[in-house]
Amino acid sequence: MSALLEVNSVSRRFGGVEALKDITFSVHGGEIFSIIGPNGAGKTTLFNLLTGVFYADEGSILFNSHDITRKRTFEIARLGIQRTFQNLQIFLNMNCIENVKTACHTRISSGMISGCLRLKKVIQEERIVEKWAMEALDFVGMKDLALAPSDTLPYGLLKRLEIARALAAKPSLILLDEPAAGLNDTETLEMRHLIESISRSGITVMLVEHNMSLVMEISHRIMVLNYGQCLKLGTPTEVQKDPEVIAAYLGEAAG
Amino acid sequence: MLLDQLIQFLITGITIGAIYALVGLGFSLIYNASDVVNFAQGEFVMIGAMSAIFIYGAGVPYFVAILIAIFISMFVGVALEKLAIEQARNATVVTTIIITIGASIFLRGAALLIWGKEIYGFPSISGDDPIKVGNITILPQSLWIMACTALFVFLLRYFFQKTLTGKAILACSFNKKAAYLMGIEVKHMLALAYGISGLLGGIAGVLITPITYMTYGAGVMLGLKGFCASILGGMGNSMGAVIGGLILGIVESLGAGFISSGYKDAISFFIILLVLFFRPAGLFGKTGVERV
Amino acid sequence: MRLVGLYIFLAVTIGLGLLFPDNYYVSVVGSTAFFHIILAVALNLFMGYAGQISLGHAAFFGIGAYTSAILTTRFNLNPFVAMSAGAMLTGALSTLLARPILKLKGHYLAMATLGLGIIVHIFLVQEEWLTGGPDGLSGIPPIKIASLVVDTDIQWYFILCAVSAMTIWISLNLMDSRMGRALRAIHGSEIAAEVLGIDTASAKAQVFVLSAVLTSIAGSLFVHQQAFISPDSCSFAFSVELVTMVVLGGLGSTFGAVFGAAILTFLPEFLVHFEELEVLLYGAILMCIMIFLPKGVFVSAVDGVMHLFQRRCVRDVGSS
Repeated sequence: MSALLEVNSVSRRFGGVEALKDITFSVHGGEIFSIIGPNGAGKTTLFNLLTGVFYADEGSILFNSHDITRKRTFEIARLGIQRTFQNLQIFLNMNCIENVKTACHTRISSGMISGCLRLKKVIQEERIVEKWAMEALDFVGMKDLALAPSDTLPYGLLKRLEIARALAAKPSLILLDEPAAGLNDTETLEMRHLIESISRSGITVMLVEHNMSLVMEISHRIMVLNYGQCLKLGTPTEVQKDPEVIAAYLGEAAG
Repeated sequence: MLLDQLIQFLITGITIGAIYALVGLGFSLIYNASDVVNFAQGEFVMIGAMSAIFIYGAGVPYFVAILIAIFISMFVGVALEKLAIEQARNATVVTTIIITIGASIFLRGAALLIWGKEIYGFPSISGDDPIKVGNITILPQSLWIMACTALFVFLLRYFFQKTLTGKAILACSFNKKAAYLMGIEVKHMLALAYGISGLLGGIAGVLITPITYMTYGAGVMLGLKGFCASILGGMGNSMGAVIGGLILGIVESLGAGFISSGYKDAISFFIILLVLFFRPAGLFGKTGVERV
Repeated sequence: MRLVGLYIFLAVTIGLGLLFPDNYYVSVVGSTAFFHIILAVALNLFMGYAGQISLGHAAFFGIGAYTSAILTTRFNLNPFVAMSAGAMLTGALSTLLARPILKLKGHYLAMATLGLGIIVHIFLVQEEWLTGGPDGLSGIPPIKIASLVVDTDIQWYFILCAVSAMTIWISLNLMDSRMGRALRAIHGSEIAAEVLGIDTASAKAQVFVLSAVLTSIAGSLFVHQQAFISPDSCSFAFSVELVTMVVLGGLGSTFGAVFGAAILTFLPEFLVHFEELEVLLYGAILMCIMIFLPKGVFVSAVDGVMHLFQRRCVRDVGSS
């Protein structure tokens, strides 16, 4: 398998705090790669570096053999990385399908003037975007809620909507930041099925998650972060057996 | 010769800058306490000045008139919070801006109704005979303005750093919910913040009127300058607002003196634009990091 | 369905124009209302869609107005050529300023646009040789369409009605298009918009220029209708009035802007009868509307109707 994403000795400091220190790993096409670790270990910071929200102080990041270390967020998105957020970032001023349609931005090309004049091209685009958006909503099981205003939806559905939105951009890599946080057991199970079907559809998944049974069951490989450093990288079985990991994070509960 | 001129302009600049500082201080106080940019701040100044003029005109002794006038602007500040801002708790930032613009129009309308469109003057605290030092002249009122501003900046700092009530207001500005859970009456603190802001406006009003005169509409420009001062210093940074006000006054005075008096406001706004282009959060403001 | 509001707007305004062509409130105040509608809808693109703020749009109005005034009176240029020149000048200026200004957010953006507006205003007052100074410029010729000279109130009414309808049409079109969604996404969450591949800086700059150019065209039309322009027509107070229209009607809604513009045009006409109470009442009404309907008159009304409708649906479902 070739590496889709290569992270080479990346570090990032905030003031005096080293949020990430000399992190190196690669993610292969098609796998589910999880990152676990205690709060403040640097998991979300890593996602922020991968999507250009912050830049790395040192090291380099290669995606599909493009150097994205210093690329801006929207340029990285255009190369095919999508993400969801720990604190939801739904466009609450739009309904569900409009949220998802927005994600088709990079797949169509009409500009502001043609939009204003509603040229023929725009009408064609709108038709196809409608279709893509419905497909994405259908994928997460929210087809019936297409026209629902997003600010009235419960939390669990907003999480799905955010995933549908990310998928509508047709990424080759999707970063999910705590998709199961705040969900009950049934919803968590549904989320697990959703993540698995995303993976089956050929999209590489990177997952930050605190729900250990979810992580252990669906991940191909897991990286454990602690105080910004990589403690262990391996298969779920390897990680679960590692004494250092157990001491730092898993504790007895996961035993 | 040029040096004398420079010093003369600096004195004028610091005088007017001190007034901007007081207004800017009121701005940042309200912004800190409630995230509201109060476009009625200039009207506090106008109400204070106009009240003083008319109460004094009615035969009340000078300093008593000033005290009552300052009290009136303080009352207007509290009323604004209680009757308007508090009622619109869940409004967005832009909506609250429009509410305060409505309030400023309302207060201007009230002033127009009570006092008409005439231009009024007000006697200085200690006469109008200029003090001469070499080739430089200073109006006694200028000294009073500088001294009073320094005093109130100092008092306010003391109030916020040393007294319990002051610290409570600061606590509300950092985190309203946490403050409420600590047993602080957030509502009262907000009203108090608006009151102090009104008070500062009133003081600025009675201090500036002997130099510049007052009309019902004079608050608009003073309010804008206060906004400039607090933006220049970094929104919500009180000492920043004071320094911003002084810088603004000096730039204006030098611009008027050496470049063009018609363009003096344009010069100061141009400087503010330049500052913002290079420091998008003002001179002393912190650029926040968005957490996602 | 998408344009139903526009059809209603056209039916009502054309109907009024045909039925009461000599009524002062239709032909004169109505024309002013159309100007405000064009301006408010244009500003709503920037404020309501993209979630930015501008306290300096009167500057672009002024640039359009003065360019038209100067080119037609001094150089005898065709009004439409002058109008295009004004639009191009505004476009160039706003393009130049867009990037540095739109890096700013919230109150800092408000301050920067406010400063821009005031600088332009001072320029118009000071440069008397060019702009006529505080007295302004007069004797501006009317516009001519084919061989028809537009100079009666009701002719202007219908022309401005058409331009307003066009602006509304543009605004509604943009809403449901790639860039329109990008703008509203920036309003919702700038970071999420970037992550979806939207070049937010460029999108904001584009809508700023679009909004400014539309505002400038309205300014050009204004001088030909009034045959006169002075710096008072493009002051800070006017910028604030435009923002108030957009927010009063309902930020983010095209017809919210239309309603806000209409209300703030007719309200002073009505309040004038209260003489010295006028200013006071105007402020009080503004405050009350924003306190009790913080989402704006139009948006709150639509929400209310939707709510009522939904409740009835629920009740129907429950009883059946």
